[in-house]
Amino acid sequence: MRVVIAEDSALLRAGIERILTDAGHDVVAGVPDATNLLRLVNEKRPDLAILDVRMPPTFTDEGIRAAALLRSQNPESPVLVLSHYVEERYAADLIASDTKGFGYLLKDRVADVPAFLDAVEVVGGGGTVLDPEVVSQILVRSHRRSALDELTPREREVLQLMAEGKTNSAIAAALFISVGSAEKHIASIFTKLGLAPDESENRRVLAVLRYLES
Amino acid sequence: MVAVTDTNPDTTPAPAAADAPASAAPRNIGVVPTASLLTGAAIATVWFWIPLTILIIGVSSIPSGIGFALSAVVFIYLMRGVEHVERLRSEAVFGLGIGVPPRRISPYAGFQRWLHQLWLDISSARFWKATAHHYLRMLYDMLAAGTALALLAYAFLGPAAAIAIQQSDADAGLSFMSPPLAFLSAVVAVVGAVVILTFAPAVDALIDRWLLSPSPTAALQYQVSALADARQGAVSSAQTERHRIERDLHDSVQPRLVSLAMTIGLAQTKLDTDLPAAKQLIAEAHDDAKSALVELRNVVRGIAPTILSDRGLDAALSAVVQRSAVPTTLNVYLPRRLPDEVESVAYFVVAETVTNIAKHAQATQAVVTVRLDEAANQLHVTVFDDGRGGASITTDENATGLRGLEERVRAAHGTFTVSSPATGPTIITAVLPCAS
Repeated sequence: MRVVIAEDSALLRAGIERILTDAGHDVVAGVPDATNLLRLVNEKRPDLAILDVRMPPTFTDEGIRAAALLRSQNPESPVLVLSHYVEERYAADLIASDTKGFGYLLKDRVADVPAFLDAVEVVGGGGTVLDPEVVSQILVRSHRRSALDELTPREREVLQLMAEGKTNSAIAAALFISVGSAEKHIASIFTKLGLAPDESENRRVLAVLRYLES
Repeated sequence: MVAVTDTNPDTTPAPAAADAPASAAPRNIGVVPTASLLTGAAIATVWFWIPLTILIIGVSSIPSGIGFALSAVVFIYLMRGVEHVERLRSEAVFGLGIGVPPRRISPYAGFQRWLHQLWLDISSARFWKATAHHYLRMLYDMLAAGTALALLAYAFLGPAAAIAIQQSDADAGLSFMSPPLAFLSAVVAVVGAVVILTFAPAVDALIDRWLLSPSPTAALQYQVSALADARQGAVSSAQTERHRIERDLHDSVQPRLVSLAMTIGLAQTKLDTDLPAAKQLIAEAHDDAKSALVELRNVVRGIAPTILSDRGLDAALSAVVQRSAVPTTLNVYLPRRLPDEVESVAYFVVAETVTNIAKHAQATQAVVTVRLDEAANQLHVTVFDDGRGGASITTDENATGLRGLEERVRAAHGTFTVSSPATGPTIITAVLPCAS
């Protein structure tokens, strides 16, 4: 997979490059800011763009704005946003239109190399990966709590994994249950929350997140 | 140093005359002011003597000590009550929209607070002006109403006396004005009484305006002491916060990194001799490194996250509440962005309280509520937990958490209260003014 990286810390940029190169990906370019990234994406047409959120010049949310711009310019171009902090509000902004080929993860996750490489594969392939913390952040807020209160603890776990974009079999594997019972939990969640069941994982993520955010 | 944060409801400025619905324009004369004057005079005939008697008893019992203290306290409370009633009366009758002078509130607690508050009250110009106002107004009301009453009495008795004397024996040697003149003077007396009763209340309004309104100097002095107080809070809160950050880093991240370095060092020594053990150690080091990241993030979170300035308090609270180890619910009502200072203090209060709950409260759940009171333009931050209670604002060097919060809130001219009985639950409230 051809990847471009925008990350202002040279140390981290080199680290991510090494992990990706080791796994057989082709890191086309690494740049320290968002402006160069936008230019690079238009020039090199990579399969995936990895961005840091805090970059020059203001060190606030350059990465988020660049990601939004990228996604509006090239909806086909997958974007993986990495940050020292994840914020549900930023995630909500970025998935407002589409969850296709989008990822938003804590930088800590890079340390779990195999999981990080999985996430790169999923996002590059047009899937969605959200950091579990995004979902927990949405869950602490009180709106729509009444319906969520009806979920069993197990169903909450499943909901969280669903929102992370996991497939039914991945959910089953993560919770050490059979695919059949994972499907049963999912059907029950959709009924309790009044959502239309949907086959595609990405549409499902969107439905769940819209529900949680509303 | 005196805290000037005032929670007393009667110090909120009285509505300006234009805002008061019952009094579209200030009125100095009319039925209501006249009725007020008459009632005031009637009450004054009895009431006038009561506080005065207490004062006299107090002064005369100075040698006995207790008697003096008791009557002084009764007198102070009486006069504070009277001032409140007088303000209500003045506003209801004249609707002048007189502002309430600020009252200094003692920063101490318990009996010391009570004593200090008494001292603050009797050493304030407000107290003595209100007392003077009360007596001046009673005297004036009695004088005006008495004069009017005397004139009216004359109007009834004068003509009767004139007629009676004219018809009496000339031998009696009584002489008085002739009846027609008496009738004329009676009419003049009635007109005089009506004029007095109609226009005398205007002077009442003047007295109110003179003695009840805050003096510009007092208002400035209050502002100066409020600013000095806020500055003091800001200075000490910055100090406390630096200590807290230093301690947090020292307690969480530093040992984690030391342990990480040690584990990797140990792994290095085993690489050649004992590969499985080295692998095990590297896995441990990996976990240590990840934990250090989480702990470092939690420390930095409590300081000033970029999302706070970027997207505001509402957006920033999700993450800080989510990282709480105790299941926590977040309720937010914020229809608009608030001034930066208010947002950052509110954020700090929530972040620090949530951390405290996880560390000390042994709670099973917590609720964070952040609500903007649009009418009063105040932000209310409330954090509830069902833990063991017993939290208090101490000056203990090791328990800087709540004191730091109190200082920070004071620096923002807000009020900070802790309700935490020994059996729990604990409710921490910060009210922050949002005037921008």
